[in-house]
Amino acid sequence: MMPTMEQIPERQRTLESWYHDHFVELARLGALACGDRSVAEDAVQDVFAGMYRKPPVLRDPGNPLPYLRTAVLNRCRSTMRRRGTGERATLRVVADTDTTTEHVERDAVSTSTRAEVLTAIRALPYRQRDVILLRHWLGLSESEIADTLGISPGTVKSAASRARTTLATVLEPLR
Amino acid sequence: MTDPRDPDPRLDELVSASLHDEAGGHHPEPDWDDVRQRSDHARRRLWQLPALAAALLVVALVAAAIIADRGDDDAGVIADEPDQTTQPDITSTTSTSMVPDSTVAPTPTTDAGGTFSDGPMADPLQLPAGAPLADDEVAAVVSAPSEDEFGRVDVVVLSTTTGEVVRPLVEGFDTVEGGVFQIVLTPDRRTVVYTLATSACTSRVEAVATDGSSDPVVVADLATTVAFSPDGGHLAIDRGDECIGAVIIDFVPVAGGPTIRYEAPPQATGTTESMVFAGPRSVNYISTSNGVPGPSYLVDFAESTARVSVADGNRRLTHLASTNGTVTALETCCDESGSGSASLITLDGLEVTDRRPVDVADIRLIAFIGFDRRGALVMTDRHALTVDGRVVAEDVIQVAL
Repeated sequence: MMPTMEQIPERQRTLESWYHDHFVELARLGALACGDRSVAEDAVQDVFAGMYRKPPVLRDPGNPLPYLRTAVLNRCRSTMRRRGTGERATLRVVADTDTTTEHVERDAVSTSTRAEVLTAIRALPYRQRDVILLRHWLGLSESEIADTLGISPGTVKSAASRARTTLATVLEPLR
Repeated sequence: MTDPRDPDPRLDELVSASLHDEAGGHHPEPDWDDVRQRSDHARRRLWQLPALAAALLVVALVAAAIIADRGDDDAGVIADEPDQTTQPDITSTTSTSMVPDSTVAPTPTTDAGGTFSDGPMADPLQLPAGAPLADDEVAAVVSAPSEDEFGRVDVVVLSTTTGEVVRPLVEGFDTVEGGVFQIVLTPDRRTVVYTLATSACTSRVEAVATDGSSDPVVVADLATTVAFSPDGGHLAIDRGDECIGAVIIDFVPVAGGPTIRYEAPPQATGTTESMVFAGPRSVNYISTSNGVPGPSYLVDFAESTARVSVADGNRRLTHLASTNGTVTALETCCDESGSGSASLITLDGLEVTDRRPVDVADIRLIAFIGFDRRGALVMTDRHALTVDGRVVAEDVIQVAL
């Protein structure tokens, strides 16, 4: 029998609300980081399962996103390492590639270019990769990235600089 | 030539567009019921993951030790005399990815604080003794056939020559609650002692004769790791701080008598990986919390003194493993940016005696930890133990020399 709303603790209702609000973003973030959508979605499920079991201590109790983003990134990383495929897996780019005209028009870059860019990003050291994803996909500021990853803004800056140096070299032929 | 550190709008645009295009093609479906089911499922296996992780670490060091031993053309396994200070020479392999670093400075130490007190009186420990293990035999925990998703493990005697199970000692431990946590030999090599997790916060120490001539005997309750003192006269028991909220190490006399209890200061609690292990002259305790090294204690029960090494906060240590009084750990994220090289470090007591760079590619190619390129040690989902590139045992998750 399903529990009534009154029987569900407030904490669990809040958690479920966070889940529905952020699931898609977190799954996409994980997929960009580890290159495997199913692993990423599993990671998000596991992160919320962990929070369901034991609520984490959030720096800002009203804003779980920094914690959630970091947890998903870490869990994706751990899963890929456990699989032993973390660094060998080639990035699957749009396995369900849509070849309709509408899709082609929607994309700003070609599939092959995108594959090369994402492969280059995934080849970065983890922290550099995380910084690039948070900066260029989520559009976070340096201080927001620092807050999310629990590092100093200076470290964000140096990681971003190193990442850009690498990407500029690797992606030079595409530009 | 363009300096890549300069602002590059084209690069930013290319990266952003690629990420947005990729993410836009991903349409995940939320499933809240699945979250709740996973939560219920995970609750039952709290002990399993740390137990398996700890187990895998021990394999790493043991394999390296075996390799070093073979490299010296000295047949058999590492000597286990109490005063043995030989540590695995991992660079005796032909690895090209590790460069010995001779400039390692001793780790500064201070008094650890904490308290020594008289613990409960202990009866003589029941340690069933068998014939000493041969030089090419080790006590090990290996996975056992099981249809249960959590699996089962056996405690066995394993040949380091053939990788074959010489004889099972105790079969069929359920790993739902974690199973066997750690396994050690008495210094005389006649008794196998192991810790067994029985629920989230309960565990026990059991002992069995090495020749299989006895049933398991319960030696003590509540222990995550154990170590015999160098003279074999005491059993040090790390009670584990997760459930009792304190780092407590009991030093139990094998022949019976008053237990000496050491309780570390409160700041030592909150560890995610820890172990007590025998050093050449004392008992050591090392811990980490989510990879960040915690205090490393050297506890001399004979003198009732404890020294502590507080590690550099920039380092992250994982994969603790010990044998013959030394600890090996993987050290990562060593520079300010967090993207520095990784090293394999060795501690003898509280001193960092060796720090060897490990090629990051090696680590990434191996699921848990890598020592060299040629595959002297390979730990993947297959959990293979290899010697000189030859697989001697598979699915071995823990070995004690």
